[in-house]
Amino acid sequence: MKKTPDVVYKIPGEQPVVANTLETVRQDLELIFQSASPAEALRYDNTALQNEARFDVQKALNTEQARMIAEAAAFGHGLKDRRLAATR
Amino acid sequence: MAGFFVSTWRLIIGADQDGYGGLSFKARPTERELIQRESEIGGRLFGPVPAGHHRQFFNLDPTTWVWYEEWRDEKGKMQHTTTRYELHENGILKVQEGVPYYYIEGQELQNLIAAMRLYYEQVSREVYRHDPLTGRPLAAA
Repeated sequence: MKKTPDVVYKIPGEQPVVANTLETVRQDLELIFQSASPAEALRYDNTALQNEARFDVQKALNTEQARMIAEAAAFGHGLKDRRLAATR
Repeated sequence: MAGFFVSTWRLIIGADQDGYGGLSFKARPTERELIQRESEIGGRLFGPVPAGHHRQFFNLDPTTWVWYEEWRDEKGKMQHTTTRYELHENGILKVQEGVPYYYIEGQELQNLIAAMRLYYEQVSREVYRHDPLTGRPLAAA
């Protein structure tokens, strides 16, 4: 079974995001496949592929990118608050 | 300039702009008036605008930033381009009409974040009279 890395990404000052989700999904799928019909197995396999795609996106998101995106989000929320205060 | 903003606003969100009051704020400006003032500051962040061009860069809502540029081509026909930057959990998506969307990265991402930071700092000071670092009101001059 493919071993996944321990940490996907980490935003400074926050807890690291641990990438054990995919591994858990794979283990669950193995149990499901043992008793599933071929159609059910295919459906679950597609789910696993989607989860893997999401995982890859997260993995590609390195720490610096995550920090910049968080900063951009903070600017947007800060501006919203300023506008609300100014219009009241 | 007000008419320009109206057209930009309609292009982006399809909204009408009846009763728009220009740059001079009433006692309580509307959100649109505030965004218009912000957009004028945003348009200046990237240096001089070429002659005949109008440029706006502004924050539309917490997860959307917009770059709008309008100019006349060599035949005198108005041209414009709108770029939307959407914040998603896994990145910032660049959305342009007729171009495949993609998540920006590398230098492009760094440049955009730098522009957002400048925008936030200047807008906080010039429009809202608040210190962007502390969030406190600026002392009266």
